[in-house]
Amino acid sequence: MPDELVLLEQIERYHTGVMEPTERTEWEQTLATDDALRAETASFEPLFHSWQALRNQTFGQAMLAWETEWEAVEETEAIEHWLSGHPGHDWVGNKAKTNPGFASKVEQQRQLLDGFSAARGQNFQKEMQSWEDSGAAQTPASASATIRPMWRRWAVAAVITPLLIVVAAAYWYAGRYYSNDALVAQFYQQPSLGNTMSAEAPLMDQLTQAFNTAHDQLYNSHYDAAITAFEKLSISAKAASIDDLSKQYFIQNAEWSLALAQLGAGKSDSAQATLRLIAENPNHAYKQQAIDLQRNLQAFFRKLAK
Amino acid sequence: MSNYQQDEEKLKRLQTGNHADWKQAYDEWRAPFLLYFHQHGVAEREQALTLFQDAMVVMFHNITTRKLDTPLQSELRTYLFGIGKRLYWRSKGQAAKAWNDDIPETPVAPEVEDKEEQRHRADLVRRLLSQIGEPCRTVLDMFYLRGYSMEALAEELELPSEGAARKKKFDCLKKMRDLL
Repeated sequence: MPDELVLLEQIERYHTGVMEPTERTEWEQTLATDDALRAETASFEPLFHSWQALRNQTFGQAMLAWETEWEAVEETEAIEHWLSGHPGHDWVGNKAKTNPGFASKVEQQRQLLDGFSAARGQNFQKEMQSWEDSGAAQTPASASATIRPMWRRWAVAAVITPLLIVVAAAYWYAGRYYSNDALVAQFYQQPSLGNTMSAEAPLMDQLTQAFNTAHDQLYNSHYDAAITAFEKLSISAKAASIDDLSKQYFIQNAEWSLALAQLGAGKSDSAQATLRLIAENPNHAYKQQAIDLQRNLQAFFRKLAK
Repeated sequence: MSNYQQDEEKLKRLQTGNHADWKQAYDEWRAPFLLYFHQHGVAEREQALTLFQDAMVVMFHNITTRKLDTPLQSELRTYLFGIGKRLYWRSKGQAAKAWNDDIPETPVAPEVEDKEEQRHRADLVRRLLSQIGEPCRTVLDMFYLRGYSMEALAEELELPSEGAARKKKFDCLKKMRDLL
């Protein structure tokens, strides 16, 4: 008779389907003749199947969060298509008429696209000038001799002006999309705030209230107050006797929001440290967002925005 | 040598239930799945999306419980589409119609398809977890839901060894079983 721990591990492997086929056959033969083992095995069946159901459900909840990211991507793409005049996206214009928040997103994206379009135009202008220059360089020296000084001045101006515009556009773009405030706005998504009633209602209500207050501070750009609020929330959630899923949500959301608040407050080193902790935790719900934000903080435009 | 070596490597990673790997799969399969069902007449985006997520839950169940294992008989994506086909036609109350493609329908265990039953079972574990107290709640949550290995569990909970973590986990499971 194997020791109890080994036996229980076998029962688990049997119920969770990870037993090898030959071992499974032997196990079932033993079960057929050993009443006590059969009863012990059967007693664990509902438990292991229920664990799997909870794993499936947790996975389903994780997918809802992933889908939120996709919705944001698809919305951005739809706005871009609508702004570019592609058919089939009229709902964007209709929604913008009735939803000021959405209208503001559309306007921001319009400015971004305009900026890119302008930069593309400048680049093309610069390229045309280089064609012009190379053509001029091939003309006979005698013909160009009298106008060379003026031509040079125009050529220099023609090259430098677009460059200056591109540089200015780059600084404008960096400030608009890579400053602390812009990155916080880009990465922050206010969770739906509300009251949660549960078996642990009083404690849960306290946490929910602290959670709502902290997010209000962050939403209203009161970054220092938000930092304090999220640090406190994280400590309270870790100590709270509430169900683990809620606890995990409060802690992980508080950590991610803390990083954004630190960034908003200009505490880049603290924000980087918090982001590192999140990004290095394979089970953190905000791991991917943290990695994306880290990437933005390392981007070329970020350096210009500083 | 398998025809689906890359997918089998991916399958091994997915079998651990690690959500980071599953997120990658979600992002990879989402667009082709929606397109495939759109091409076969599922015009409503919301309906196709629900179908995709339902199929992914079945996929998650089949992979983490090793119902799907190596050697693979098709690409993982084809298997997922087969689940979607099955769920779609089942929701229509009909046997699968012959769509003009090579994707075979994947059988789906009735208990996984039964959302009410799944919810009931999940609630049972939640209730037991709320009764079992610490540290068992944390141990089981970390192992079953967050995919911690025994080694990581021992380190996180400052237990002396992997063996001590295994012992702790089974003590907690027995305690939970006794609450049933």
